[in-house]
Amino acid sequence: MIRNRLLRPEVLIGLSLVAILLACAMFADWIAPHNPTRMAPTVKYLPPMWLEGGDPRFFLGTDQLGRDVLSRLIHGARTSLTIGISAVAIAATFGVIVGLVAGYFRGWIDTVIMRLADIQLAFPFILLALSILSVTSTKSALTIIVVLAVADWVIHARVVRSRILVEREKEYVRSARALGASDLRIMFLYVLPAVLPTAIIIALIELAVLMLVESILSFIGLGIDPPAVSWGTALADGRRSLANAWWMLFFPGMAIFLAVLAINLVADGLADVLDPRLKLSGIVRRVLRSKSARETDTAVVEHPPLLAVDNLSVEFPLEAGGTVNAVKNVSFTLRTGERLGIVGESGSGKTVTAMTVMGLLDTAGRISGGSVRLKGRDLIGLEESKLNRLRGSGMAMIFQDASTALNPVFRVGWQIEEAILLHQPVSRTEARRMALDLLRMVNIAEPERVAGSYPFEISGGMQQRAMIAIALSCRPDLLLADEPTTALDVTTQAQILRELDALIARLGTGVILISHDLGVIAEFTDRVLVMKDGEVVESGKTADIVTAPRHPYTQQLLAAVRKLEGEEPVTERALVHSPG
Amino acid sequence: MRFLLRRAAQALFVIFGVACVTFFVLRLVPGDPARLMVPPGSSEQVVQAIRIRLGTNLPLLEQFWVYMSGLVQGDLGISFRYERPVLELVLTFFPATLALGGVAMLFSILVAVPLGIAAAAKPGGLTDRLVLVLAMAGQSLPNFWIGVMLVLFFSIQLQWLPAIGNDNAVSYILPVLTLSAVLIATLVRTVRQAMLEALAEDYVRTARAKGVPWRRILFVHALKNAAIPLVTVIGLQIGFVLGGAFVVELIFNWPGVGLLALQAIATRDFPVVQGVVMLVAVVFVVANLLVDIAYAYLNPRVRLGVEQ
Repeated sequence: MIRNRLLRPEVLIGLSLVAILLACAMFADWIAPHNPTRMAPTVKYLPPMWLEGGDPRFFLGTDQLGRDVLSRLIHGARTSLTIGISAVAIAATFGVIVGLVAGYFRGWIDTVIMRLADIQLAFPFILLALSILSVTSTKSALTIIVVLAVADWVIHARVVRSRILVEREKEYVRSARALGASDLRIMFLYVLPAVLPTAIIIALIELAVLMLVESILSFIGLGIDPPAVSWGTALADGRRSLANAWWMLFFPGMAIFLAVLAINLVADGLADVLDPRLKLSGIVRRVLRSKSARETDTAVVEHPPLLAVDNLSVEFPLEAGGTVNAVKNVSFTLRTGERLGIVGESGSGKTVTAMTVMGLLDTAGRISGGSVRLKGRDLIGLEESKLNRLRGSGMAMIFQDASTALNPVFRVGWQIEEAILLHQPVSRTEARRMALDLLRMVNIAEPERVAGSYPFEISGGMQQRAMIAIALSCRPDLLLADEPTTALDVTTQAQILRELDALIARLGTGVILISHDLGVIAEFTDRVLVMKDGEVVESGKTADIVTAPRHPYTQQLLAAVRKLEGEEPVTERALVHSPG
Repeated sequence: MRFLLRRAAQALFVIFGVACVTFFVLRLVPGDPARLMVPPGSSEQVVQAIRIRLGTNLPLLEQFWVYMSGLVQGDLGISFRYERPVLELVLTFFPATLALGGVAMLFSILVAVPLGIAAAAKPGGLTDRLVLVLAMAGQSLPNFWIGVMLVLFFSIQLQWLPAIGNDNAVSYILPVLTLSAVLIATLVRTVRQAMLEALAEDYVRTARAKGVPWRRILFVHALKNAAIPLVTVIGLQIGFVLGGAFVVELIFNWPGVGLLALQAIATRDFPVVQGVVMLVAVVFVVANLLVDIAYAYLNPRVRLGVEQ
């Protein structure tokens, strides 16, 4: 796996360019066809050899002093790499140690270092280099290296520090400390290896940045002194001969571009393997968006049940290849006003079933068979726009964790009003009034205050009530509740369930309640499906199944409830993120 | 409000720090500015005269005191070359830099945001892959090279656009493109990443369950969340724009503070160099203060003081 990802074509291109670059830097004296500083007034401004007037001895032409452009590029690679690598090595070593100390010891040492870093970061990078170089009379490679390192260490220190802050709280560090390991030992033997991959990637990215900065400095005349050859200096020469020697401009620029690109590509490939968050091209996470699986007829059967799920199967591709069946041949029906429970442990397929009904299956998931009919209308393969008209009004869903299911940057009232405005032809003021009514309906004492609050300003119970208000805002015929109270404390759980119970009875909504807790199911539902590994293992009237379970799995679940009675139920993050 | 006051105090502290750093960096770097300013082989008397004029003959701490007390009163010294107060000089050149940087920043945001959203809307799609390739290339391109190549092509070959000066709107095109290229690459990646992260959140699923159309999810639900990291990155990029302005102003002979500073370096006009560095730092800090305000506006957690 890792090998494959490292050997992607982009990374390979990057690696081979870096190899060429290194070869140029190391063997410049042998590779370069000419002495890069030898002037020959008789051959100045020669174009590349393939153009008219070109000379085969000078492959990429010559400059304003008759120096060979190619040779200057090859020697420029040496300057650029030497300066870049040395500067990064110094900056990274210093930065990593400082970041390690600051992040590990915290306290005043951290404050001082980070304030210093803030000040330095308040300074455009290049300006700092510029102001130092403007007062130095000689600019040797060493001067430039020191200046770049001084400007760059902050980046390494900050990244390493923020990683250390996370690492130091981890179990392995705590236990090492408990065992009496010295700070020095923990820092260098335990924590440092953990942050090293990040540090290496940052160093590579910064190497690319510093090579760019070096060329910029040379270009504006603050780079390394002649006779050293730099790509930036070559480009500056080219700029002065802009009108009559484009090759003096084009090739040095290409050299810088390719060198920097190559290092970026390698850094990106490494990041992919070592620390995906640092990847330049960013993560590609699956976005929830269903693709139409197939077109189907939308024939409406006479007096159909509210919901009819018939032989539904859903599969997910596995990373290692092949697929896993998250839901296998699941069938059930639900009549108006009826309450169905689906119970099972995580990974049993209960949430995937609900998500499929809503048409909210993860893109990776594929419906491999069966049908889902809401009032006789097949939902599978229905166009997104038609589904959108049904979602929220025909069927609605309450999610497990209201604290993440509500949008953090919009007020609660806004989020309820949006649902109303999407499905009902009412004015904004009317929607606002209706939202307040809904909040009152879910037993919120101060609806105005809650409507004007952001989700994080109200309690977990309030958040879940707001979710319920959103779900019920358009009086849906079908309500899917996926662990609606699991994220709450026990008292609030019971309260919310009782409220929901009364509300649903009043509105005559059909309900599918998903839970891992048979106790909740027993109290709340008429019928129940017991699911295990994507299959329905037992189904029937809730009362019958709770009193006389036939399947051993159901018996186990029941036993678990009895054991947990009075305790806080085990929280279960549904399998939306990890199907199977 | 308390949040803003705290940020303003921090900004002042940073500006003070920058003043200290510029002062000591310029003084402690080996090399005598006075000696750099006179022709080689000048007598010690001449050098000493320059030192007295620069004030570098005084003990370091006294120099620091003179410099800091001048700074507080807005006195940045006198330019040797122009024989005018540095502050006045710097403020004359600053509007051109501000205009160039502002237009480039605006242009970059206008290009990068829609592109980033389009890329994130279909990860792995054609637009997305194209955007990633362009972003990677843009990240690796030296902006001064883009600048000179643009001049070569549009001003010299085609003779469509002016290569130097800032006389009219047309003369903005090439400098803005030069300054924007790398900026767009950075911003588009940020937008894409932030949008992808927002789209993977639970609240997007809630919105879909409400029947919110995909387009509205992208532009309302996800974008408002994605705007938060975007604003932070824009704040950091202001420094990049100001740094990039130096190079761009040199290439296009743009009469801004960058050009002023580079000329001052060439003519050893140190008070001006120091003045420009101070100005740029102050602008950067103030701009970031504004970004913090925008950040607080976008992120209710910060605005309401729940989180820093």
